[in-house]
Amino acid sequence: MGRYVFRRTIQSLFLLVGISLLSFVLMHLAPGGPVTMLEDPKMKPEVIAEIRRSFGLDDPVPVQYARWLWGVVRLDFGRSFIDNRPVIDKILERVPATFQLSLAAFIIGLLGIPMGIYAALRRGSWADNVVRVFIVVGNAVPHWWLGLMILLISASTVRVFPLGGMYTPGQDTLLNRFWHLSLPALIGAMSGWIVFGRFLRSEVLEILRQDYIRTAHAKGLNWPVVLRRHALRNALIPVVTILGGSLAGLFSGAVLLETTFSWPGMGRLAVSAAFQRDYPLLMALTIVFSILVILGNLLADLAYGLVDPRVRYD
Amino acid sequence: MQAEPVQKGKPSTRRDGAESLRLTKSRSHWTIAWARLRRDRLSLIAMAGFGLICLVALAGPWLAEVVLHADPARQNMLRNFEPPGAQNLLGTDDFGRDVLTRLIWGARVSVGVGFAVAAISLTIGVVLGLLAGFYGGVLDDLINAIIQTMLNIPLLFLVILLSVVFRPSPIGLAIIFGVTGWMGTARQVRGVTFSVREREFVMAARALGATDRRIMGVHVLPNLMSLVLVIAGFDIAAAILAESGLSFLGLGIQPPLPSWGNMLSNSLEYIRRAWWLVAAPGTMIFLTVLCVFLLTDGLRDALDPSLSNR
Repeated sequence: MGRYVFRRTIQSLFLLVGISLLSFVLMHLAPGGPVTMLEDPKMKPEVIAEIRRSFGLDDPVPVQYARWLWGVVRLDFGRSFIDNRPVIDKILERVPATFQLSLAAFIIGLLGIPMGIYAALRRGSWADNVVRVFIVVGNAVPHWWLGLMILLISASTVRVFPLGGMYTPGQDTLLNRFWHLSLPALIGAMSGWIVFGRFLRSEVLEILRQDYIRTAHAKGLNWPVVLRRHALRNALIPVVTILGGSLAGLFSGAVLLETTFSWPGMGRLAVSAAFQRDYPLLMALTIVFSILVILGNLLADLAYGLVDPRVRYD
Repeated sequence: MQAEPVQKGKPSTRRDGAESLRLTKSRSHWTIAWARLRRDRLSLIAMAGFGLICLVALAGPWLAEVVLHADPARQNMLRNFEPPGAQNLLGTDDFGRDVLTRLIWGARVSVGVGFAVAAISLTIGVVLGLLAGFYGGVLDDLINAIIQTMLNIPLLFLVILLSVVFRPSPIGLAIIFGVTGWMGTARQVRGVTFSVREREFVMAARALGATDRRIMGVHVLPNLMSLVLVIAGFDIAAAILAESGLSFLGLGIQPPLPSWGNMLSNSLEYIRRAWWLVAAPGTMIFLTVLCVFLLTDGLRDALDPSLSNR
C-alpha cells in the first residue's frame, strides 16, 4: 500500500507538470501572447516594454516556464497582471468560501445514499417513483439555471433566499451566513442526490436478486438483519469509489455554482481571471484545481482498498 | 429495415407448439428493437419532442423570417424588456430583440453544437476503444494511460483555458468539447470489443483469413452499434448542457450569435425585472436535454433489455 501511494504520488506530480506545461504553452499560443490586456494603445512603447520586462515576458518561453515552475515549487505563483498582487494571496483569500460551499454541498449530497436505498427497498411505490422522476429531471436540468429560477421566484415573491453573496454587508452573523449558504449548498447537493441515489438504487436492487440474500433469508435470519448485514454492507462498498469523484466534481462545478450565486470563491475568481486574461492567476488556479481533482481520485482509489479486502495494490 | 426470410425451407426453432412448423420470418436486431421502442409511449413522446426541436433548429431562419417576420439581431431600444404579449410572444430582451426569434436561432447553435460534439467524441472514442480492445497489450496500456491522464485533468478548466486563448467559433467550441470528452466512450467500447473479440464468429473469420481491419470493420463494429447509438444520445445531452454552462459564464458562444446558454449570461441582472429572459432559454435547454435522455433511455431498453434495471 505504501509503495502504491508513493507510485501514484509520483505519477500525479508528473501529471501536474504536464498540465502546467500544457496550459503554459496554450497561453503563449494565444493571439498576441499573454500580455494583450496590458497593452493599452494609449501607452507609450517604453512603458509597454517596461511592463513586459517587469513580468519577465522578454525571455524565451522555456526560460519563462522554468522560472515559473521554480516559483511554484516555492509556492510563488507570480503576480497578477491586473493588480500586481501576489497570485497566491488572491487565491488563499478565496479558499475558505469555496471549501465551505463545496463541503456543505457534499455533505447534504450524501442524503442521496438513504434516498436510493429507500427507493430500492420500496420499489414501485410512490416514493420510488418520486426518486426516479427526480433523477431523470435533475439530470436534464442545468443546476445553475434551476438556482437562477429559484432566485427569481424568491426575489419576486417571498424572500426565502437571499440574492447571492456570503452574507448581508453589515449583518455578518452566523445565522446570516447560514441563510446565504442554504440555497447554493442545496443546488450543489443535487448532483450528489442524483449520483448516489441512482447508484444505490440499482446497486441494492441488484444485490437483492443475489442468491446469498435468498440463502440468508431461508436460513431464518429476519429481514432487517439480512438487509443490514448482507445487502447494505455490500451495496455501500462501491459507494466509496464514487465519493472521491463526486468531491472532485463539486470542486470543478464550483465555477458555475459560484457564478450563479455571486459566491466569492475560487471558481468565480477563475471566471474573472479568464475574462481579464490574467494569465498568472488562471495558471495558478488551474494547478490548484488539478491538485484537488487528482487528490479526490487518489483518495477514492485508496478508500476502495480499505473497504474491500479483495482489492490489492501491487 | 424490412425483415427477410432467411431460414429457407427449415422449420422454425421457436417453441410455439403446432405453429412451429410454419415458416417464421426472421427479424433483424433493429426491427425487434424498433418494435419494442414503439410500445414505449414515453420514448415516443420524447422522440417526437426532440424531432420537433431539431426541425425548428433546421427551419430556424425560415421560421423567423416568414412566420414571425423577425430578425434575431434587430434591436429596438424603445421596446426593450417588453413582457410576453401579442407582438412579442416571449417578450424582448435588453436590446429590444425578440426573444422567441433568438430562441429559434439559438436552437441551431445549441443543438448543432450537441450533434457536432457527439460526432467528434464518438469518432475518437470508438477508434481508440476499438484499437485498445482488439489488440490489447502495449497499445491497450498506452490508450488506458491516456484515458487515465485525461480523467485526472480538471477538464472544465482546460476548456475555459482553451476558449479564452482561441476565442472559438461554434465549430471550434465543438472540437474543444469533443477532444476533451471521449474517454467514457473509449472505455465502454474497449470493454465490449474485448468480449466480442473472443466470440466464435470472429474466430471463424480469422480462420478464413480475414485481415484485422476487416474483422474490426465487418465483424466487431456492427456489434458495437447499439452501444454507440446509446452513447451518442448521452453525448448530445451532455454537450448541450456543457455548452450552455460555458456560454452562461460568457466563455462559450460569443454574442451577437444567440445560444441558449449565452442568452442567460446576463440574467443575474434581470432577475427582478424580466423573468422571461431567465425562464425561456433555460426551459428550452431543460426540455431538449430531457427529450434526449428519455429517448436514449428508451433506446437502450429496446436495444438490450438486459441492461435495463427497472
